[in-house]
Amino acid sequence: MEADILVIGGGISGLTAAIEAAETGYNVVLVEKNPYLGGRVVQLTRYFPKICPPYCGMEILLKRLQNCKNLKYITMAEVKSVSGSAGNFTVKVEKKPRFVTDACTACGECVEVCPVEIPNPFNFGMDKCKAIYLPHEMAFPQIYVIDGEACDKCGQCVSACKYNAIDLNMKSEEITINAKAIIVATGWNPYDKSKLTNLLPDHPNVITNMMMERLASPNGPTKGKIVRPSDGKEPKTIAFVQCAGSRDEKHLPFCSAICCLATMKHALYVREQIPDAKVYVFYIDIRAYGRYEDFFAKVSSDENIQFIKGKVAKIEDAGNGNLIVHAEDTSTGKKVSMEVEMVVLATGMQPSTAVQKIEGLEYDDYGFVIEKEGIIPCGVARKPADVASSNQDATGAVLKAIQIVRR
Amino acid sequence: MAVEADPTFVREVIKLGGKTLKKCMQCATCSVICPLSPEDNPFPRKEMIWAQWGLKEKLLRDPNVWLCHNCNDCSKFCPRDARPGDVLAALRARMIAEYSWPSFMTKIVNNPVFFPLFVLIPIILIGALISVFNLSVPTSGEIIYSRFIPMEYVEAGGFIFGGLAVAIAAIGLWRFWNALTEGGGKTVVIEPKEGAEVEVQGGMCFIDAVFYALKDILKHSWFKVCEVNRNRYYAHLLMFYGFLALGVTAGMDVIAKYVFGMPHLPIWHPAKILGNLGAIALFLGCSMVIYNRLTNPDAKGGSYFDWFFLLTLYAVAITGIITELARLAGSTAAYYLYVVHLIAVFMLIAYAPYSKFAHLIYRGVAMAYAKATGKEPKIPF
Repeated sequence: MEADILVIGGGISGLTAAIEAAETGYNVVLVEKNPYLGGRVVQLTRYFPKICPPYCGMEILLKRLQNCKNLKYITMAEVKSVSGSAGNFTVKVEKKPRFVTDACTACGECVEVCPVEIPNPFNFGMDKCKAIYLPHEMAFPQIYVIDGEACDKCGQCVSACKYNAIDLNMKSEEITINAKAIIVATGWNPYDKSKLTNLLPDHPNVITNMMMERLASPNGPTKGKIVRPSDGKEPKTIAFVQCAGSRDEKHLPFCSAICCLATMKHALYVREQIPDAKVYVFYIDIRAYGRYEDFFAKVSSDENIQFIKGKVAKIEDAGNGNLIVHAEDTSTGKKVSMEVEMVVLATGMQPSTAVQKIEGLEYDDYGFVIEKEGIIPCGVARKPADVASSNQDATGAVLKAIQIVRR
Repeated sequence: MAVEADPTFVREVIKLGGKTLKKCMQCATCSVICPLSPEDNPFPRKEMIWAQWGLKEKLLRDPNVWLCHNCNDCSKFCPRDARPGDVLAALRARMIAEYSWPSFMTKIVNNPVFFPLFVLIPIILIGALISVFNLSVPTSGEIIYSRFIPMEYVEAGGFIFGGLAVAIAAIGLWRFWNALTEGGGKTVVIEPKEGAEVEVQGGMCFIDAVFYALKDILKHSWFKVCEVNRNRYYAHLLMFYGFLALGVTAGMDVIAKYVFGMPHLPIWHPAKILGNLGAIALFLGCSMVIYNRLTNPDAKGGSYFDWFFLLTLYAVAITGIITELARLAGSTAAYYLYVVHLIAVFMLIAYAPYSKFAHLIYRGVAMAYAKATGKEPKIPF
């Protein structure tokens, strides 16, 4: 397969880069690891800067994508290695079997008969879905997928499908792509909370900020109701733990850039839904950069949202589903031990390439991709960033890639 | 009150082992993680920023620096690797330097450059003793040390240098106490805080606090709550009681000789058995601490200040045991080994007020003070 520009990753950065490159007339191939495009953004309830649901922005992008005849996207495709040099790269890609073909109309008959349940990966396992599933309501492409590891190949879905869209014998295939320039938009994973051993990470009511996004989302496990996972109770007191694993030499040594604002946004979700809820934000420093200072001013003026300067260093199980968070309020010099009904860990952004390296790329100490001639990282593959900056970064990356292609 | 920042002080603390102190970003993880840190004005977060700013006056009269038992639970969880445990250890060394008299002695005792000098001093003293009194090593017969160096000389040396050490330590203690109570001296009225274990109305009741602090020290209750370096509890317990047992045996030796006229207690005598068990405990305790310091990443390193004391103590235990074995084996090597042992003992006792050994008085007083003022942590006994 030939391409002028290969884009690795179909999240907001990769989509933007691929579309903008294609719209300028270049042949673009976009490879995405997940069975759907949109990456982390489609998991969000609302996003910055306008605090709007992700679908308005995503729909515009997907409409543009479908108009690009010179853009080919491949889902469930993982890049294994990159070799060659600027103007002539060879990229090995493994395309995992989806077991469902393009003939799928997303009617959902297969789900009815599928006997196997799996923790829903899109909702971080907070609910279950079947082994054959649509990743989420608005998934693009709108095609079901089978979890190859969980599926026991009973074949009931095959008989239920009226469109002959299920092929249980599909195998993974290797694709070789020759590209002149590569844009790396591999994005990030929420930092693994189980590593934060002092923060009671396995307690069901200790969730991460990304889980909060799913909880508050209308297409989430609770249809948008913020309740605590252990008993479905509406939490009246919530503690947010900032820098959970970020700015920490033992975890992510860097500042993840978005968590302060994400937490403030979550505080607003809570306050809108549960008007009498009390929100406590434990922080080291609040980093609301640039114009977001106004957002901080708005959130901190809410008398039910209390900011406490001091990192939560210990969480204990109160026994009744509640949790006791311990911190030192450094502004008063007193220890704070507070019983709350739910805890949200503001876990940081770990570059995907820190966990899953692509052979042939260069990385910094933290696993972010380093730019070299013809290989241009953008978005969170390059550094922690919010959606707006990632998009700008992606557009800039396209220009750099075009410069290589036109040489 | 004007706050004076002293950059020289910061450099001193860094030199004494607090080299990571500037990494701290004041997140206060340490104060929460520390099992010994009280609810009000917890440590060591504030000590870290005082150290960064060089707030010498505040730090030098801060009892919290001594409440820390250096278990390094804080360092393990510190997100910046600022190692508050190490910084507080350096602050303790700096405090000993501040309060012991004469203060230049602490500076040179804790400077590795002068190490040879401090080994040389006991060698010269013993050499002088041998040449002045024309002593010689017996080449045959039963191994009895007083056939080489009369016991009276060793006892006299013990009383002179031991007494001097105690007197100097007392001066240090007096200065530290004045700093803690902000110059109030012994007439200070200590305001009891609500929930304090000890009812305190005036200076006299401090005795109660001392009693309870001693109880804690004997039980090692504070060491017990450390999590990262749990084996330090056992190691320190062994060293503490080993040393105590050896001290008791030495005292009983003197009593036996002068009160009961028994200059040489037999090996099965309870006092001797106690001493031998003490030596083994001291040896084991030191070995555990050294092993831990070398292998446990959470307790890594240690400054010269730590190692000087630890290795001197270890040397006392090892030379003591070897000397005794040589004596029991009837080898005349015991006489030479005895001299080495005396050198080690001299180094341990004579330099005690300037070395880490002094921690026993400073920490003891700080613990009692914290109890009396209700500033101590709640420890689940």
